[in-house]
Amino acid sequence: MHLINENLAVGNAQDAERPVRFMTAILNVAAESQIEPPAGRAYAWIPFKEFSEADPTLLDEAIEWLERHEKDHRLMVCCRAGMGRSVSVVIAYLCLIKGVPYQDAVKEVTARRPGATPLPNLEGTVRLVRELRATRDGGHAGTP
Amino acid sequence: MPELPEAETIASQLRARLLGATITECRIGRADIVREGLATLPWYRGALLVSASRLGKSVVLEADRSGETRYLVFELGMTGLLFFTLLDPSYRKHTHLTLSLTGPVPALYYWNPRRFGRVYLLDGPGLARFATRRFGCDPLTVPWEDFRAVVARRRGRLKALLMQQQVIAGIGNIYANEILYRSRLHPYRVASRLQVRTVRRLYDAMRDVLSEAIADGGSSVRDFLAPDGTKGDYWKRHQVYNKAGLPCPAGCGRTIRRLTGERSSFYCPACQRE
Repeated sequence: MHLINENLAVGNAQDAERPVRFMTAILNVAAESQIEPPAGRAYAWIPFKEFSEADPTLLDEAIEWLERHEKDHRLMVCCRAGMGRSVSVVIAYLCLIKGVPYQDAVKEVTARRPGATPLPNLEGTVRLVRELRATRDGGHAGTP
Repeated sequence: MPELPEAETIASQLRARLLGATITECRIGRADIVREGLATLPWYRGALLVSASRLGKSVVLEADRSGETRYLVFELGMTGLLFFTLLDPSYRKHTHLTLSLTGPVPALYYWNPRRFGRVYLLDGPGLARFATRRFGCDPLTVPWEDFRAVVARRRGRLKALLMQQQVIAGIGNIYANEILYRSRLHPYRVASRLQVRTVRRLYDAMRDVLSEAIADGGSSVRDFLAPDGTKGDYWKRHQVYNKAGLPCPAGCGRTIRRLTGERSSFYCPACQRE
């Protein structure tokens, strides 16, 4: 597990199955592994395919889930290796919910999770999700 | 090309699929592919495969017969691979050793078009000699204090140290580049001048990169395939290897550069200062 900030982490499949005590909301984004939800934690499975472009609808769903749980939980996003899909969801979350510019979000996450490899064309996908959210909400969705 | 993660991927597939099988026949395509122990080849007929492991970048099969143990050591070299089935009839040409087996996998093929690697047929003491002569510490199991001592003794360049098999066994050009980038160390840094905390960073990065690569089944750069024919995905996570001209993945704003020395080195001039 790699902490991105005090309330947010990325992890791998083992981290998802046996999360550390203080991580109370687990988002599993590995399409290939639906796990038994860890007892006493908020849990969701939003499946992304490894090494492929993220589906904007799913990314939007993942961001919404994180946003919904951020007030009451410490969030951990997990995939198989904790390097690609989880990292990408966290970057998107930082951009779209916290208003961090894309390059700064990449910098922040790669500094905390060495070896992080965002999914292909993530920046474009984040842009699409921003448009999606703006259309739906009729308003603001993070900084450009 | 196969390095430690690829050799480990091969060994783990052999462990999963071949243990408990008996060798019914050993066929050699070219006698010179066996560097040592060719005369013992008939011994392996009827032997039971009891373990598969990795030594540096080589793969070792352990065989038992009548209370005696012998080993088949497959040096993979630049292009050596082991297959459960020949994926294409053209592969037959460069298949230099075939083991026919009982059990669910009927054969194991050693394929090596460029023949930089060889096969060794060894007994226990022979394997111990082979390992001592060729391999230094294993990067995944070397204790921190031993690794620190190895680095402190070396006055040469860091990347050359990582790739010197007699000192640290299993790391080649691809993973040396990735490990140095992960550690934020320039390939030309002098090993013995590193501070202890920097060596620790290198030690952690080395183990992380290799473990992550194993989890991805290694890197299918050029032609690496696992024995079942699957590709390794770690090449999709390479940060610097073969990425000259692309932006640094850490977002520092610089582009990855290539140094041409004895082997190509890829590095970020901002994140890995000399």
